[in-house]
Amino acid sequence: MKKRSLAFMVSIAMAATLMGCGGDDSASGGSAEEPKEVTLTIGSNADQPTSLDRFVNVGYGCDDLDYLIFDPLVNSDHQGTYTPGLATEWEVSEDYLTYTFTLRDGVKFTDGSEFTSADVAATFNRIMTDETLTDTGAWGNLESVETPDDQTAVMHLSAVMPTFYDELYRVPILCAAALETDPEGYFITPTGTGAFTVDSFDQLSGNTVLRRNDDWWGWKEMDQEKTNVEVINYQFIGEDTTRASALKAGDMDIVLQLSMDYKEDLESSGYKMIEVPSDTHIHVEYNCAKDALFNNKDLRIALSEAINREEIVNSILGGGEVATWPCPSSNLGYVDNGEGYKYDLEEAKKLVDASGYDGSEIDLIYTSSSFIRADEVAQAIQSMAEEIGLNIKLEPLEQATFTDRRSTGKFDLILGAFASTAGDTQTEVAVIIGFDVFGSNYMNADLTALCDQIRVCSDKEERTKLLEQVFQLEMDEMAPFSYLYSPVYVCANADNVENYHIFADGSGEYRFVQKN
Amino acid sequence: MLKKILRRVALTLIVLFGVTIIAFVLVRLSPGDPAVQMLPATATEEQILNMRERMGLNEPYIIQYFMYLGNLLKGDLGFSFHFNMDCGALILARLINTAKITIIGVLIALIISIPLGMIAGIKRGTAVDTAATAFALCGQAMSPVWLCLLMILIFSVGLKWLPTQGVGTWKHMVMPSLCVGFSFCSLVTRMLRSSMIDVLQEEYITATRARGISKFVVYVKYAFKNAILPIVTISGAQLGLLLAGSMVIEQIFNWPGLGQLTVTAISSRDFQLVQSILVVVAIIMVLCNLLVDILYTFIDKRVSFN
Repeated sequence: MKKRSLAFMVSIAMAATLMGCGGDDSASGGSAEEPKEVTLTIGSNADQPTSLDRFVNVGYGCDDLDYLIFDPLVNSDHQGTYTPGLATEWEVSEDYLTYTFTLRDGVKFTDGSEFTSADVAATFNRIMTDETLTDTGAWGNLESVETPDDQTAVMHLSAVMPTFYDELYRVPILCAAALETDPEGYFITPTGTGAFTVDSFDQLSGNTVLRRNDDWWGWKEMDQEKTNVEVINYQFIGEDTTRASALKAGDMDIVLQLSMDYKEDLESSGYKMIEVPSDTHIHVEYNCAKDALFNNKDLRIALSEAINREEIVNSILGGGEVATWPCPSSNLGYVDNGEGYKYDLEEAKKLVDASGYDGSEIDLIYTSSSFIRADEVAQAIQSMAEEIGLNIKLEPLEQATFTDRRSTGKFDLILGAFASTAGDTQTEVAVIIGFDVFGSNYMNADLTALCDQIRVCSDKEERTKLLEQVFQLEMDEMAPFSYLYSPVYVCANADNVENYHIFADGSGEYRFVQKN
Repeated sequence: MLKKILRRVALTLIVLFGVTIIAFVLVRLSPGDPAVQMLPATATEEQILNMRERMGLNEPYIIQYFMYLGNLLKGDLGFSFHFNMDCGALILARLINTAKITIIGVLIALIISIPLGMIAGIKRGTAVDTAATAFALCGQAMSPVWLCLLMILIFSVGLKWLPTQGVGTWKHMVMPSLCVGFSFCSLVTRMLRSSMIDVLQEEYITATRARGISKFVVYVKYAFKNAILPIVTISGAQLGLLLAGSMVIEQIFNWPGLGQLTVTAISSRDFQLVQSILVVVAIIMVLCNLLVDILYTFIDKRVSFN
């Protein structure tokens, strides 16, 4: 009898618990009559930031948040077109060393203080002087910032900076007074002039809650309808499956950077997919040191001709842009030469035979996390290389070990990725190739000379011609990189979300998003 | 008793000292420069050297070690350059998160596994025993990744009862806790079943039944008390391991716990954070073992603390 009573009571308790678990979430959130705030939840796979400081955290996640919280001096379409931001006009001196900005009048920070040239000066002085910042290398030529009056800022460079505007739009303008008052806490709940303010930032998870700033100048000045979203909840979720599941469960409105695997399932479930050609390109890097195997040009060409790029893009990735030139088609310096990278197994075999290659193991190093499907792409290359007699050994490494091996030249091949900024291949050519940052040990006087010229050339037309020459040389010599493809960023959103844009560098424009 | 506990604490400190040496050496033996990891790929040599200087990596190893040890003795676990915050605060916050799902998971596991294990042992050879054994085998064989994804599919995507990931409300803790507790539940069920079977075959159990004591009292007061000893041991060890963080579960549910922190610290070569996490985990393991030893003396009076 006692046992039956106990069992009955336990059953009632379990039923009550299940009833409490179930039901619509909206019913559990207070009075049903109160209008709910329009909240947009974004799931990103970017590296989780540890603060909202763009110059300490690298990655598109922090960029996304900074574009919402702050404004730069100029806005950009991330493909080389610049429009007024906090600066309404600007001029550059003939020698490209002095940039004068006329600042927008009547703009206020979210703490009520007026935006003036002093804030511009403070922002850039911090970049020049704060040694704790890690991503300020691009501003090495910035010498000083003058503020002749509240509405004018003049930037002086010690040497030309060809990517000046590309880097400028990525500099959020900070509130000088708030920064000085609380330098430690500023980047946890920053004060900006942007379309949204920070409600909370969780340093443990990077998750950020933003609230619309109804006083933002852009709602009137920029030619777009004000967003109806009142709260943006930006979350960092590394796991692809979890992000996709969160969208299907209704926990997310937009999820970023999924693989093509999810496309069919999400589309059939009624979600909208966006495919954005990226500025990233995947490449094979050769170790061209004097005593290295791939110092031999024939072997470099052989490997390139053995790789079926179309097969990789179609079968493994489900989409993307096959490389026909050493940069994506949307980037500066691209030439459609009608030929692309040759695929010819027979010729490749002949080149291998003629090279005297003895069948020794070739180390191909890469990191599984550096781009989507890295393992499968590496295995495909290994298999394709085997067809022409090259014996490739795959070595997937974790990031720190990979960086170490690359910098010390302990590799034969690298499967890697690099992304340009705003469609401009300047950094890749002038720095990565010019200074051989990735340790390929490729020596070519003509290439070095071209890179030196590009580094000091601000004229876009002239720079384009120089870049084309560099890329042609890379194609002819098949060094230091052989390019494979540019992946496509796949994003998905619920069908009631519209008017946002994903750029080729992975960051997004969410300020004018609409959620119906 | 107090003296004995204090002696154990003193021995523990010696163990922890050894752990600091091992942690210090291990992180420095691994390839990869922490300064390079902190900077973008296009960083110059000068920037790398400045970063190494800031991180104190240019000092001789012995100086680095004694500086770390000295700070540790003052309660300072160091500074995380990757997270740009104090290691102590960071580890504590993450440990609390991991502890939430671990304690709930273990409690749920014990609430399920103890009765189940007992009944399986008592009703050996019956359908109940078979079901319990099958449940235990499934739990031990099941991959945590598969279990996590299955739960998300059913409870989040399908039924929309629970959120997929993250922190915030009690609902966010349900699935991670269940996943943490599941394999532990299976283990305890199997062990308790075996333990009960062994104990029930003892002569003193037969003697208590012969004296007319009811079955319920025999099973709970006499058999269970003896059968629980191995469970206490295994629970202590498992609790320590679970508090160190389940990296897989935390990654899938995006739960900001100690496991996730450990993975990030190692991959970013955040030396001070890795060392401090290892020390903290060692302290947790030692405390769990100490707790088990103390509990033993209460459960079984024949066992002395030594």
